[in-house]
Order: sequence, then C-alpha cells, then structure tokens
Amino acid sequence: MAKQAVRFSKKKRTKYRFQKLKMCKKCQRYSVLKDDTCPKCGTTFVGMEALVKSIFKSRLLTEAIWILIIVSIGIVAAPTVRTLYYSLISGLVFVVSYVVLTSIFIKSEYFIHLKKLLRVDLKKIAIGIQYDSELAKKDVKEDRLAPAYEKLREIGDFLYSDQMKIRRVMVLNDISLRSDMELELETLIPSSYDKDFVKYALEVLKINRTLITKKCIGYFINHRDAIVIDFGINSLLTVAGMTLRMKLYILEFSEFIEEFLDYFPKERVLRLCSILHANPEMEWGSLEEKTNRLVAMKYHYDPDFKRFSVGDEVVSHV
Amino acid sequence: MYSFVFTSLLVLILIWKTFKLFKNKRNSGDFEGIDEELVIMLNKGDSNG
Ligand SMILES: [Zn+2]
Repeated sequence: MAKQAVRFSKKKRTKYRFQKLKMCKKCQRYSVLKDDTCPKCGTTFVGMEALVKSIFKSRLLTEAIWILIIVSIGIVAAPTVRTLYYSLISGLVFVVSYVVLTSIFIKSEYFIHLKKLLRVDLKKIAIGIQYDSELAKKDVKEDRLAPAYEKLREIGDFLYSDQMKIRRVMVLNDISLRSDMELELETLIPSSYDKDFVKYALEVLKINRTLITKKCIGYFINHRDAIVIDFGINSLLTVAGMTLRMKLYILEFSEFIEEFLDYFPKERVLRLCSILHANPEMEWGSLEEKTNRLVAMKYHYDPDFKRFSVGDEVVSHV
Repeated sequence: MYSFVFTSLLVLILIWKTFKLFKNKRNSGDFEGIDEELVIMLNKGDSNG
C-alpha cells in the first residue's frame, strides 16, 4: 500500500501537561486534543486553568457573602447604639483581615483547588481521553492519518501504555516520513518486542539519525534475535553504525560496536577512529585495540587514515 | 457583653481560616508534582482495564 503524504501541524507545547486539559461544560467532558470546540455539541472548551479559576472565584464569592451576612447580623442585632458602633468597627476590621489573609495565600489556595479538581475529576478525565482516542480511531478508519496521528500524539502525553505507542507507530508506518516532521522515537519504545515499532524505528532513523538514544540502542540489542529474523542483520549493522553518534554511546555499547566493526563502511570506521583519537584519556578497552588492528589491516595505505598514525606499532603487532 | 461575644466569634472565624490556609499551604507542593500524579493515576487506570 502506498504511504500517505501528509503534513502535521505543530504540536502545542505547554509547561505542564494538565494545562492541555480542557472541558466542555455542556457535555461535562474533558479533552486533551487541540480543538477549540467540542466535536459533540460545538461549545467552546474551557481550559483547565480557567476552570479552576472560575471554581475558585465562586468559592471566594460564597465566602464573602457569608462574611457579610454574619457581620450584618452582628451589627443589626446590636442592643445599644454603642455596641452597634463597636460591632461595626470590629466587623470592618474582620473583613479587612479576612481579605488580606486570603490574598496572601491566594497562590496556594489556587493550587489546592487545582489539585482537588484533578483528583475528583480523574475518572471524568480518563473517560474524556478515552473519547479522544475513539475519535482518533475513527480518523484511522476513514484514512485521515494526519489528524489521527496528531490526536494520538496529544493523548500520548497522558497515556504511556504499549497499546497507545503501537497505535501511533502503526499510523506512522502508513505515512511517508520526512525530516521536517516533528518525529519521536524514544517516547514510542514499547516494553517488549514489536515488529511495527522496529519497522518505524529503522525508517525514522534513516531520515533523522539524531533521534537515536541510549534507550533505543538498548532496545535493538535486547531484541536483536527477533530483529535479525524480521529485518535481517543489516538493520543491526545500521544501528551499530549510528551508535557512533556520541562518545558516551560508544563507551556504553562498545561490545555491540565491536561485533559489527569489520562490516562498517569506511566512513563509519573513520568516525570511530577520530573519536578514539580525540579522546585518548578514555578507557576504550578492547574496542580501541580492535579498531587499530582493523585500520592496520584494511586501511593501512589509505591516506584518510594517515592522521591517526596507528601505523607501524600496530602493524608489527598483527 | 454582646460586643465581646460578637468579637470573639469573629476572632474564632479568623483563627479557623488562618489555620485552614496554613494547612493548605503546607499540603500544596508544586505543579510538577500534580502533573506527575495525574499521569501516574491515569496510567494506573489505563493498565487496569
Ligand atoms: Zn460538548
């Protein structure tokens, strides 16, 4: 099947995830998607912060009404004119102190309200995200892959299950990927072997090598047998080559690199040599030795390798 | 006597309010914390079914 050429819109970034939550007050339903209006009833969504603020404001209003009632009763019920004045003054002092006190603690009070709302509405939020996920499913069914992926990407900020990751990966596998897309890899790594994920990873690494991370290399190493069966040994060779991206990865996965060293193209060997050469103080272990030996055998007369001057000493070794 | 009772009532309300505000402040924590909590709780529910 031909892959769909699509364009993703930019992901909305917020400092905290809960800021992405919004609610349709009419349906009493939460959503984490980017839409501004509820797809069910068309009402404009209210953001989480606005929601908490409105709840907080109405709480403060109720408190203010109670205070006024108490103070007014106190004043009206005063038996003499003197006690009336006295009540009036103490009532005023009380109101002022109350207002000052509340404004000093306004931040922590807002915070507590937010926390309470998230806890009380947790079930509602989960149901809302479930509904969002159904919408994404519908998009996939109707072959609207870009909106489907955008939905799953937002939901993926909240749900980390393998099932959610694989659903995203499967949509991505039907899309022709481009380097200008904001693609992810590490966040999509499932907890066990998954063929669709590996297929996606190999594809995405072809267009953006910088996406490779420690966790990703670890995944390839842990599931190497299954990967070789499904994708051939060359896929592992590619990943081993990409492991040379960073000094730290080379240190951590030196055994893995050593295994594939003999099959690396010249450009990869050059890269490895230049890193080893630039960091002589590091403990490279047998990798350094093996690399030197390889260079001496295979690239001894290659001028590109002259600058590493591993020359005679190693050759005499071999 | 009336003024005394009324003022005491107001002072009591203030003390109670201050106590509550302090308690809330102590329990409040940070935004990162509730963000974490939200995601953990949602994923717990998700994996249970
Ligand atoms: Zn609605």
